[in-house]
Amino acid sequence: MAGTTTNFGFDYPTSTDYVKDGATAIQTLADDVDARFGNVATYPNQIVNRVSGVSRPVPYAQAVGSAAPVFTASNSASITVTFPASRFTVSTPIITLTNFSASGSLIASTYRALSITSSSFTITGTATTAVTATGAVFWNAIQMTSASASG
Amino acid sequence: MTYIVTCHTEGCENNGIGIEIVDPEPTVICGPCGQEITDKIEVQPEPAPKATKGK
Repeated sequence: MAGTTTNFGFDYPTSTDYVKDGATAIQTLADDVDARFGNVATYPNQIVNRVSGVSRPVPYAQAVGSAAPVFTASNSASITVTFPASRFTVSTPIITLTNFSASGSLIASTYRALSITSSSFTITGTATTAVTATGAVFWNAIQMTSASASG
Repeated sequence: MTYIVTCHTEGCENNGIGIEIVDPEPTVICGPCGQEITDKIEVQPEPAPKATKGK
């Protein structure tokens, strides 16, 4: 192998190499590509960023769940919810909450997520007066890669 | 304060796994199964090293 590509360091032969070594050279190149693009743990969003030409975060891990019932008659109550163990390792996830009443109707802007870490988050009531919520708060956590983690 | 909380719900993916959380609310819910976690152990901070007397 006489050289490597500029961006990814893939090995390639030169024109003076023997033809009989061509199959081995192609296999080496194929292994380089396979190892690089299969390594999503280290380079989770490399294909997106290489194709688009910019570095941008992409969804990397997700978890969903519900807590029900959450609060019974308080606008100041808070609970802590744990994430699946070791799910979010790249960055702190983004949380969206959807609150349904016991009858299944949507309750708008009653709760919000605070104190978000990679292992848990806190749901806190945001109403200015006491509310009764006997339904369920469904949460959706999405972890994005950092913009520079493109590889 | 830091706590290690452990869910013991049968079949839950967090069953038996200690998860470290900081300053939790009194009620801690296991995200994967939605059950309340009662196994909460406070992590004691490391004691400061004793000062040594100089001679």
